[in-house]
Amino acid sequence: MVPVLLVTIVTAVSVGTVQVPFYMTLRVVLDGAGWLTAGDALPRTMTAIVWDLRLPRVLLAALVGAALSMAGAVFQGLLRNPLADPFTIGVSSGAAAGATVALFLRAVMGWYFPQQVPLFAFAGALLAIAFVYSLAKIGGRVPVVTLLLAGVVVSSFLSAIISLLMVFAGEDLQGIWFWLSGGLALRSWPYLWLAAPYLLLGSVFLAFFARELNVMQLGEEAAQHLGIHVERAKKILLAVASLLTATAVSVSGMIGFVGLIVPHAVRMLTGPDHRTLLPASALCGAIFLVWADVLARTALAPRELPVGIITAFVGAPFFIWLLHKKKKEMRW
Amino acid sequence: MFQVKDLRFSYGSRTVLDGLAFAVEKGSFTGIIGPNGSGKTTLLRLLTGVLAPQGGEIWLDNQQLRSYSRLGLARQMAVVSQEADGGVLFTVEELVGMGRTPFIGRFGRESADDRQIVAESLELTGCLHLRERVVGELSGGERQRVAIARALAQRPAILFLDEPTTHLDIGYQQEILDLVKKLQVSRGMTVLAVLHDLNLAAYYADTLLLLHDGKVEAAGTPAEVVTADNLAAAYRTRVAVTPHPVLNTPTVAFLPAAYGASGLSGRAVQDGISSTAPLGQTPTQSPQPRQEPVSI
Repeated sequence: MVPVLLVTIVTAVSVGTVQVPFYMTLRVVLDGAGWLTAGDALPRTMTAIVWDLRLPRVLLAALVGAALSMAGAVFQGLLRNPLADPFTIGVSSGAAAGATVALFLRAVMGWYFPQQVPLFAFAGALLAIAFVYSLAKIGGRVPVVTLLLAGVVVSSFLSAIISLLMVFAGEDLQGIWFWLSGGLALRSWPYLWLAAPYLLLGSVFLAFFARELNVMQLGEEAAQHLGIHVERAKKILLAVASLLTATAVSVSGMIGFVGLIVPHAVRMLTGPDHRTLLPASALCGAIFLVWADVLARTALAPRELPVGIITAFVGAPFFIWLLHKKKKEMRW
Repeated sequence: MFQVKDLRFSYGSRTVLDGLAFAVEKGSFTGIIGPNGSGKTTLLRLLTGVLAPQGGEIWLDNQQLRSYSRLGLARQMAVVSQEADGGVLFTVEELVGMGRTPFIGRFGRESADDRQIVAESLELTGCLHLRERVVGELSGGERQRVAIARALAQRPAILFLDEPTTHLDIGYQQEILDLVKKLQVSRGMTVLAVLHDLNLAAYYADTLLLLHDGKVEAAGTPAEVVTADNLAAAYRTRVAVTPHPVLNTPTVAFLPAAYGASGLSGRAVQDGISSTAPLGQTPTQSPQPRQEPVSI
């Protein structure tokens, strides 16, 4: 799977409005990383396209895809609900509300600073999760049902705020539409450096809890009888998966379906053991989103589609097919 | 093994356990019986450390139960609960293998010993032929046996069973309880089982604990506890208690209401002789309304 991801990344960097030969891509990448000194032999335009434009974007797509898929697998396992995804408990609407506020401030009040949208989105997502969590908490425990309910309530409320802001701002808030659809256009190195540490650390951290997730599938009480600190594991997993999602959303907008579909597809292939499910979801999610982004760039070139539209176009039919085919296994 | 003193617990304003006191001997089979809502399952959840007592104390091997860590408890006790295990996407072998969780480190894999114990648990419960099957495809009875196999894979010193035979037909009920009894005797395992069926409780348990209204109504050997008077007080029912034809342990026979018409109504019958306990009469403390008949 890892070689597939590497080939995917290099191929994805080669493909675009300007086709870069495969070997050229490899040389530029190796040169950029300092492992090969081709030096001035490389055409300036090629290095610009490959190194400055495409590579960071493809890497970001891979990281975001991995993070969303992994967070999705964790949420599905944690909530023991096959319909859960990284956005279930209000992370998305929090991030969207944050981004809307940022764009509103810029458009209506002219207040702007660099990276304003991702930072606001990140803050919004964290606030939303904190609020959902405190709503769902009953005497130190966080029952799954109240968590889902609180997520739905907070999401609806935040959606209303977004709509209200859009009404006030009118035409000026077109950017929010593109952001809500999710996209990786014009994402370069600063975005990658902003998000990569969280995405990498979070993903590795989640993998440590595979065993807890497995045993928690038996039910919370049964897991306790097997020596698992269920409430503690739940809090840690919720916090880390939400952070991961918030980071992904803040740099790429709302890319739906990746976190829902990829863990399902992988579960069909590898079975429910989270020790393989989590890393496999991360790899497949990375590969999936890189290709989805390639499609987003090239399908209507030179126009760009939001990648969220591609994932929804691929994801929704796949999910319907899955529902029909695997009715039995969907019944948890 | 267990010493329970003045144990109290309520869910909100509803008092479930109101000052329980009893002791459980190491290596014994204790049956917990009592009408619906008498606090049997709550007691089990307190003894397994899932709930914390709101009053009183639980001692396990001369240490307060609350001083044990979660993992420490998991290495000593296993629980088969009323609800079936989740995790329906796992295979039987994977699920039973989870019973080894308390003995394997975070990144450890199952050792040959662990696999041996899992195979043995599968065999003891008659689940060996199911090992490759996905749990979600099993029948209720098979899932119950898998749950018991998972508990046995923990190699527990204490086994808790909450109505372990609910989904099983009479053949498997006997088989499972025979197995539990065998392990109790051969391994010196302490067994605490909530049992709905009074006869099975009387046949298999060494000691019975009859709960009623959050208190211990009666405790002792089956012969001491399963009497018409005790059952009448706890269950508000008409029963006759006779010796088992072979074992001589008490056996409960249900008396239908029509029996009242024959003129012998309202009498508990013990060992074939009418006793004086008035039956069918509402006890002074009104117990929880019965939702289903006592199975006998």
